[in-house]
Amino acid sequence: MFKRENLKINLIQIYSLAVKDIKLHTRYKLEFFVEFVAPLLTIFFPYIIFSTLFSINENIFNNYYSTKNYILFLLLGYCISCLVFLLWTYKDLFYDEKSWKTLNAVFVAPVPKFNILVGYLLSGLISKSFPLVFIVILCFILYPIPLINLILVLLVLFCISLTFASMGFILGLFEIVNEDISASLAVGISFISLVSCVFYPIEIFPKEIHFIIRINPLYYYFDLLRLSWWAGVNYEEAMSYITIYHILIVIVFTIIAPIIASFLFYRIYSKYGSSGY
Amino acid sequence: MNEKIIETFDLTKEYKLKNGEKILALNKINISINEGEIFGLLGPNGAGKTTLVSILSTLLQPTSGTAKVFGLDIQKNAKRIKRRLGLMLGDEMIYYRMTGLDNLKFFARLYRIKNPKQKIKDITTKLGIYNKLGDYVSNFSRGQKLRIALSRVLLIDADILFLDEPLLGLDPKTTRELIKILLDLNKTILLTSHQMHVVQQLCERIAFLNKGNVIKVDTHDNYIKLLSEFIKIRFNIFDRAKKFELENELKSLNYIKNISKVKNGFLVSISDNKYYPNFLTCLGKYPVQKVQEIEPTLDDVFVELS
Repeated sequence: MFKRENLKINLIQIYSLAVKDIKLHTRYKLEFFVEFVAPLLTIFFPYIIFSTLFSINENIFNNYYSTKNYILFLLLGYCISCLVFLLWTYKDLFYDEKSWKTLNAVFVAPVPKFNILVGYLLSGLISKSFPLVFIVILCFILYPIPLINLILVLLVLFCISLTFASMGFILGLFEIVNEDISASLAVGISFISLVSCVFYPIEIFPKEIHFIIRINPLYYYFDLLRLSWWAGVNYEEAMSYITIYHILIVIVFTIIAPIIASFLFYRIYSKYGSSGY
Repeated sequence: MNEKIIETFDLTKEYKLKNGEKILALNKINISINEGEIFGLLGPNGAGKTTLVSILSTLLQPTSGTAKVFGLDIQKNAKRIKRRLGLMLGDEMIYYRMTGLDNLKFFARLYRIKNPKQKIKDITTKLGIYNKLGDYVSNFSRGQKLRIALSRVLLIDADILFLDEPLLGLDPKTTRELIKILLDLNKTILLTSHQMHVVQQLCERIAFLNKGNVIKVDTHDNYIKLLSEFIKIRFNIFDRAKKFELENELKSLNYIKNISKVKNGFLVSISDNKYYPNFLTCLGKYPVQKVQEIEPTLDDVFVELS
C-alpha cells in the first residue's frame, strides 16, 4: 500500500473513478449549469425580504445578523446550497450505476475498496467546488478578511462538504440496497436542511421550534461558517456568538459522518451482488 | 490443457426475502471447468445461472460450500482472482452517459493495462466498433453496445471470461461474427445463454440448471442422444372443423408430450417412439398433409429438462 509503485497505482485508480463521475455528471451541460444558477435564485428572495426588514429596523434580529453583513451571509448561504446538491448526487449516481450494472464492473475490478470510496467522495467534492471558489472570491472582494480567517472559513467549508458528501453517500448506498429507506432518509434530510438556518438567523423562526434547530448539527455548521468569516471583519462581535458547542459539534460530526459512510460502504461492498434478472 | 480452472464444492446460496421466506438459488452445486474450455450454463429464468456467475466472479458470497477459481478459494483470495477474470453481463456494465472510448480508457486504468491506446484500437477494430468510439454509448444500437461491452472484457485480457447472455438480441450475421471471435479467443469461457444455437456452436460441455440444482452436465451430442426416443412431428391440416377435432383427440392421448399450433397445422412431440405407429393411425383418420419428422434440438432438451 505504501510502496511508491502502489501509491501511484492507487492514485491513478482514485483519479480515474473521480474523473469518470465528473464526466457522467457533466454529460448534460445545461443540467450542470442549472446547479450553479438554482442557488442564485434561492438567495434572490431572502435578499428582497432582508432588504425590506433592515430598511424598517436595522437591528430587527437583535443578534449579529444585521444590515452590514446579510449580503455576505446570503452569499455564504449560496455556497451551502451548492453543497446541498452533494446530498442528492450519490443517490442519482448509484441509482444509475445500479441499473447499468456498472457497480458490478467496478466491484469486480481489482481495485481496493478504499480507492473506490475515496474516488466517489472526491468526485462529488470536486464537481461542487467550482461555484464555491467563485463565490468565496466574490465574498473576499466584498468583505476582505485576514488570511488566517480565510483558512478557517475554508476549513469549515471543507467540513460541511465532507459531512454533506458522507450523508449523500449514505443516501446513495441505501439507494443500492433499499430504495424505501433511501426515500425515507431523503425526507428526513430535507427537513433537517429546512431547519438549518442556511439563509435566515434562528430568530426569524418561532420560539417553539428553536429547540429543533438547536439539536440540529447542521445549524452549528452554517452558523460557524458565517461567524468564521465575520470574525475577520468584526472579531469581538463574532467571538461573542461562537460557543464551544459550535466547535465540538462540527468536529464530532465531521469525523462521524465519513466513518458511518465508510462502514456502510464496506458492508455493502462485501454483500453486494446481483440476485438474478 | 485439462487442468481444472474452476471447481465448485457443494456451492449453496440462499436468499432471504423481505417477508422472511427463504429461496434456495443454488443447491449444493458441484461442477468443474477445464482450462481452455467453453462451458455453457443453460436453464430457465430463475434457475440460478446469474447467482452462480456472481459467486464465481467474487461479487456474491455463497451461503455454504465453496469454489476454487485458478485453484484459489473465492472467499479467501478474491483480490487475486479478480485480476484474472472478466465479467460481461449482456450489454450492461458500461456507462451509457460516457463515450465508448472514455469507457474503455476508464477500465484500462482500473485494470492497469499497459499501452491502452493501441490495445483499445486493436480490439475495437477487430470487433468493428472503432469508428463509433467517440459517440456516447446511449446512442449505440444494441449490437454496438454488446460489442463495446465485449471490448471491455477483452481489454482486460483476463484468463477466464464469464459471459452472461453475450449475444442476446443480435441479428444472425453479427451473432455469427461474434461467435467466431469468441471461438478464436482460445480462452476459458463460462457462458450463460437462452440462445440454444449459440450454446450449441460455442460450448463443449453444457450444464443444465433448474431451480438451483444441476440437472445434468454433458456434451451437446449426449444431450441430443437423451432425446433418441423423442419424436417431433409437424403436419398441416386445412379443414377447420377437423383441425379442432384432431386437436382435442391429440390432447386426450397420454403419450403426446406437447402440442403447439404452427402455420396451417400442428407441431407435436411424442415422448417415446414406440407410440409413433399409434400416432400415425390417429392422424390417418384426418385429412392431414405434409407430415414431417423434425430432428430434436437443444431447445427440446431445454423444454424436457425444465
